[in-house]
Amino acid sequence: MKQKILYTLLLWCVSFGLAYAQRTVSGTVTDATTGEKLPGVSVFLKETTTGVATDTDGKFQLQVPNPTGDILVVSFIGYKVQEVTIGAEAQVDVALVTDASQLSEVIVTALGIEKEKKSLGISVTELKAADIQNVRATNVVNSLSAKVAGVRVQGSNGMVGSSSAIFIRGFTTFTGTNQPLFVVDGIPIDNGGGGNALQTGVSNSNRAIDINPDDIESMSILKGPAAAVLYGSRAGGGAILITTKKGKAGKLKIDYTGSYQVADVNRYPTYQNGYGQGVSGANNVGTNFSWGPAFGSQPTFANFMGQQELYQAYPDNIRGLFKQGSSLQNSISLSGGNDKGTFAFSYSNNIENGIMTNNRLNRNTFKISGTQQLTSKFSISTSVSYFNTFSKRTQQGNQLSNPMFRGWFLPRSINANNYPTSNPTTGAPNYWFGGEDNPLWTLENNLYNDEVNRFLGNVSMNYDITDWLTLNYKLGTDYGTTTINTYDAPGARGAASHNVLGVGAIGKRANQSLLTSSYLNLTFKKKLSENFSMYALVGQEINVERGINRLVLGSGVVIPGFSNVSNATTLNPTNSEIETRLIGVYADVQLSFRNYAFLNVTTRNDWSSTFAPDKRSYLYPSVSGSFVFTEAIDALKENNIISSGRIRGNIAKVGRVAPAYSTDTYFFGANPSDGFGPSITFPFNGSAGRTLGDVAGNPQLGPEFTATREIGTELKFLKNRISVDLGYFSTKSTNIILDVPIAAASGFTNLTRNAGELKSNGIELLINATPIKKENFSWDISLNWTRIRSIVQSLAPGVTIIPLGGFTSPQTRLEAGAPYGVIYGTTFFRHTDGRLILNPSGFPVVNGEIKRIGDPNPDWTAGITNTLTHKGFSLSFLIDIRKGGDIVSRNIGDLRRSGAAEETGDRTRTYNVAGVKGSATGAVLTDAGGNPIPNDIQLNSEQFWGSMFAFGTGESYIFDASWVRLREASLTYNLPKRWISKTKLSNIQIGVTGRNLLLWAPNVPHIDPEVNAQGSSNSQGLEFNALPQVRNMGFMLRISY
Amino acid sequence: MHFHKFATWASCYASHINFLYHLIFVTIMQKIIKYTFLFIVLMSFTSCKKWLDVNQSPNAVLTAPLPQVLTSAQVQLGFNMGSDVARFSSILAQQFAGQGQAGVQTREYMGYLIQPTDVNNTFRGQFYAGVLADLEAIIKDAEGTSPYYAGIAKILKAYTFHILVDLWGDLPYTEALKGATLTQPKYDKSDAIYATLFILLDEGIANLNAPSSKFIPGNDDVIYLGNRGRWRTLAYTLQMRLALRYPDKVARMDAILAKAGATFMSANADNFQCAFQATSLIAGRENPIHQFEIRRVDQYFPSATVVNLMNTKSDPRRRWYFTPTAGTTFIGAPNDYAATSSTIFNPPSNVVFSRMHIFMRGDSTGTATTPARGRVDTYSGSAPVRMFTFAEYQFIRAEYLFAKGQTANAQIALQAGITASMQMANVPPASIAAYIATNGTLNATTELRQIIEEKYVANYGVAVEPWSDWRRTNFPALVPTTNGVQTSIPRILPYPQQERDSNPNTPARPSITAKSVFWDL
Repeated sequence: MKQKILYTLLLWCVSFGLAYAQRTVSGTVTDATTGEKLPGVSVFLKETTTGVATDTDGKFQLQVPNPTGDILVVSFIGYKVQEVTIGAEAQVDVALVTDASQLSEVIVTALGIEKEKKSLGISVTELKAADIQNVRATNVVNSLSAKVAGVRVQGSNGMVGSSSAIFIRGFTTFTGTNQPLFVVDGIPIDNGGGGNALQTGVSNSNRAIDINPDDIESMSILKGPAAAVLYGSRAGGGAILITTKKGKAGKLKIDYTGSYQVADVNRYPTYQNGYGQGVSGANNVGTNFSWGPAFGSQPTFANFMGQQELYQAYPDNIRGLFKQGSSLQNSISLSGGNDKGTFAFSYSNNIENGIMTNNRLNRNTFKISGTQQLTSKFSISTSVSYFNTFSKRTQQGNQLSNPMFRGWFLPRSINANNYPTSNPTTGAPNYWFGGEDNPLWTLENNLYNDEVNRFLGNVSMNYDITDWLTLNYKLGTDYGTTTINTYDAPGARGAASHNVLGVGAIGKRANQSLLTSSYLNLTFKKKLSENFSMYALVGQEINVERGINRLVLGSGVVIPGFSNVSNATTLNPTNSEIETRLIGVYADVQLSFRNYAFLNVTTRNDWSSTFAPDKRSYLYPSVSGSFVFTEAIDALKENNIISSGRIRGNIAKVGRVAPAYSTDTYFFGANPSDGFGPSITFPFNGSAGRTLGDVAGNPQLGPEFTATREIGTELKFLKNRISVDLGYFSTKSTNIILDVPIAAASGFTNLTRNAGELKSNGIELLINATPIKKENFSWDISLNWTRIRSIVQSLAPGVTIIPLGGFTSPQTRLEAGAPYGVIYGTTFFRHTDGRLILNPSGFPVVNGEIKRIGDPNPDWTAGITNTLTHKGFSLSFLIDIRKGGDIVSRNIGDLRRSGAAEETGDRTRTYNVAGVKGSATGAVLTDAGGNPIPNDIQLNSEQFWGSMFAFGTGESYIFDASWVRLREASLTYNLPKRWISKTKLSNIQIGVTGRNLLLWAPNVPHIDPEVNAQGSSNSQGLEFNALPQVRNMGFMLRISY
Repeated sequence: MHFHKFATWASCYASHINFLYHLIFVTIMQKIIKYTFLFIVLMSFTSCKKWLDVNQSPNAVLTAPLPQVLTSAQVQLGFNMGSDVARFSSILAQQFAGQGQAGVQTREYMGYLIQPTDVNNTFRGQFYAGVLADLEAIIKDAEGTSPYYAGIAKILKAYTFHILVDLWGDLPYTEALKGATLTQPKYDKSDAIYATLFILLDEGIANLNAPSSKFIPGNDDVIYLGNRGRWRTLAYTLQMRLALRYPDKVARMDAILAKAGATFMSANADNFQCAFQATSLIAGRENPIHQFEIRRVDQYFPSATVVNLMNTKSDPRRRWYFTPTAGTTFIGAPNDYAATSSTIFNPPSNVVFSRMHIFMRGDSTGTATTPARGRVDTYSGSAPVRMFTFAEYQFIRAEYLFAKGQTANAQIALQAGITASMQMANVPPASIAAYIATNGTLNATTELRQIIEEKYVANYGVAVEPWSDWRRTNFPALVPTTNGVQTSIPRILPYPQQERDSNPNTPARPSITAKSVFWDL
């Protein structure tokens, strides 16, 4: 049916008589400014369908009717259309002038296809190299913070190598990944990893961290399923296309970029310094608390090691746990080429030292790419990257090996650096006052390092069957190995990486991952008539993803410090392998009418190995359109107020696959455990042990779908000085694949099935303005603003809640009718009017049932970039604004409960908790008239802070994480050309740059709220003894030859 | 096909259509026909189907051999009985006291704050989808071909359901464990479930008496190492434990004792317990109670109730049960929630409590000391998790004989129970004799109290049963914790939150202090 409509349309288009060739005109098309030859330029005989595209040398040949006076229409993206009247000559050379209004309006869309921005009915935002590279972020994801409407970046902490999550247009699935697909030079790559365990291990990286930001030419962010539909089942969360730098014909080009930055904790808690270690005003050397005697009341005290020491405040005792971090980046690239081929080579090295001992990253990247025109019709291009990333990581999470687990609220009279971390004679750890690991000891002794060796490679072959029909084949792979060496020191009381009860562990992990993608595309591109042109693509994708994990875990370390598994008394090897395959076929057809009305239809069918054979095949379409009304309506042309305007819209649907192996129920290796740490490792007594899985497989499983609708407008005013892009979208995910909790009395705790509905909608606004534009000075402002709501409409029938992450309390959840990932936690008993119910002693009473206490999703986010340029100077700064969104902060609770925080420092005042009198069990007491009685009991400081922020009282740990921060700033200066004209250099740029420079978080004391316990995951808003965020500052140098 | 239809139709039109025809058919078709052909081959159903057939996990199996599943079920059961279940029940029975800061789970349990979310994992992952799902898989697989496996699995299933009923009362039984086909099973009354357990045990015995079995349990049976006689003994003795809960216990127990071929526990070797392994041999297989003590230091102490009870009798078992403080005295942690005192924010750092010792944690390689705070790591972790001991059976007999009016025989059973318990703890014979000489005589009017109190001490560390004995007999006389969120000691656990959310058949549980199991009178 669709085909019939299409060809009927074609018929309409071809409404003019055919031309009969009588002589040949040839010529070359060049850029009027640079003289560069322009390939792919469309050369048409006016008012006919006769036309060709220039070849790679910018040459064309066209048969034209004999009579002179015909007009050639020469058009190319980014250039003004030129009409040339042909005389009798056989050679017609054309020089095209760039069209400023069109510049940078060509962007890379799905499958690497460049399209005119105005033709798109979908949302794609493109970032250029400078947008990404000036900030010198190691993790490319971080350089997207606050830059793109609809895109939210969430860091996990400020440790070197820590992950950042990226969410495009909110959430589109429940428990599967909501992270976008990363595509480098047309080949999907792995951005996995980045999730952190709650009670063991370190802060991990998301694997996009391997990419060298200096290699990036541009990034296209394909928002939502409509933009990414051609990538199919893996791009339900959108896609990020990275195009790396290629060589260009011309002289050899050498670029060098270097930078050095220092890193410091960007926000420390504020402390009281009047009272030291103790409880109830008395010394207690076994406690973490600072409820002890006032300083000055006694000269000395016996510390936890039994030694007398001065009893005094150490205002900077927390700062002493940290040091200054640094980052040194060097990157060099060589590129060049001639009319037949180009090449590019780059190398970069990045050495980054974190703010704590044994936190480090050393990354080397190599990339080589080339293109070659083998025949006039056949070209080939290839690119190979090699990444080597070595990291040393810091323990994090809810465990004693996290150096800041007890660190943030160190008693005010304790200077951690005053005590030896281990016994100098025996080498055994010197435990901390509560019998726990010394934070500095865990930094030095519980070690974790990993090394990634990774290749990205692709080869792409292009065959121009005719000038309007191209066959392209692309094959690419992302193959990486990660080796992880862990050493949990014997004697550790914390869980560290392997949770082995302090006997010490040596872990040797080797992971391999392989992603291979193959694309065969046939592209049709032709002007069908003067009014119509058509672009069409049919293609096929084959995709294989494979992962292999092997771990040899040795527990029971015999010789301390010797990290070979032969040094362990017990060995536990484990392995797992996973493979998924997918085949997709797709078509993408775009019709444009007079270059101002565009209609685009795509469809894709996938076959995924993760479904049972009869459920494998599924199809999903999209339709999008764009209408440039300022070009369509004559009255709006050449208008001084409105320079250009268009509306766009789309309707699309994309399918998602199931996780591998969810169609069957398996017996797994046995491993009894409870939520408190104890567990049993098999084999046990000679038996390997097999236990029926808790999750029932489901052969009925089918694909999950995300459908989206979007409408937007793009308006430019005052000769493009102001532009506004406003869009609204809504998405709806249905048949979501998830492990639905069922009555465990059935024998299974969960059943994998399609269920539920998730809806998101949002408004995205982008305003660009150039308030000042003079010869030597210009000021550009770019503002983006996003408001997204993701609401869980329903879960499975009979299921209202699915835990997403966290603990029993606090916990993030999917709850029917609630925003995605709401936070649940313990609450206090409250009267029906909302007032607290206080027990007979005046304390709040903890309610047994956990309730919804917060929503981690921001109300809106915004980014404002100001760029001021004056001659060679350019000052740019980005303000990142987040309004709303809650965070549960264990650190703040700890700081208050323990009496370390500044606000607990007034020990003479008393506190009356506002509320009503109640029983010990939280029942309201009433007076004779049946009215509640206001609480009149006074608590001292310790009682007040201790009970209001008692351990685990989630309700009082919740804070509104709103912030305004100076996310990035850079000042660069391009040395005047005359200074460097004597050298062979073409440009020298110097600059100072910084990230995360200023923070204003009005509702969150003590910490930077940009932290997340579970790292790059769907579970957001939990801060559990987080390591801090950092501020980076430094300078950079760019030299171009 | 569309192309051809279209072409036929289109060719009727004016000559300019030729252009289009040419464009589509001649140019494209010629050049891409071979690619299309390749394409079709690749996409053809059979090859595609085969290529996509990679969805069988290489990391797990669809069917598992009986011995592998049996070990898993047994170790999971032993683990569970030293895990959450042990902590809930032994804190409520005041064998242990939770201490530590507010919010520490054991301390909250002691304050009778046991929430529906606290029991999610226990009920769901550890028992129904854990032990019971595996046992059901064994029964299904072994019934008919390998009756010895079926028999052991049925006895274990009966024991497990008896524990679950004692913890939760009414439960899914007849509709339970049917897999994804019955995801919302109905709840059966606790007495109805108990009634079927006797039958299930008899079925298990019958299976074990079968003349042959395709597969025969051996060392994969980590509890009795394939000794079918001991399993039969357990089944009969377990029936005695169950019968003890009924008002007409004497008649029921008479009947069980009179069963043809019935055997009953006769030595500590018959103990129903799960052995765990010493760290020095192999790490990661230690007793879970010991593991908890290491991982959750200063949260779970021997309760003052049991320590004081033993102190008044100078019980020689204390040396193996508890670490001594200040030389040779033993101090239990108070069952004191102390919600009104500012000391709730004060971890018990300045008070020295005895910790659990060798009997619970396995051999000690160091000297028994009690630190002010922090943990002691010198234990092997190889103590078994005891679920039903020969000593307990002697106390069951004592209670039965006393109920039957045979007080003299009851006293003999009492002394046998004390002796078995002391031998289990390695108490030397002379000390046993001395203790029995002082405490082994049943005094008129206090017989039941004496029997249960001795049973309570002997069952130190056995999950659930001491709590059930208290619910049945009110002995030992437990004083509710001060300032708990309940004013009396809970008599049942809440239904798990997740089970309530997933199964509308889950009954309401308005109060955890109400009598909720049929035998709780």
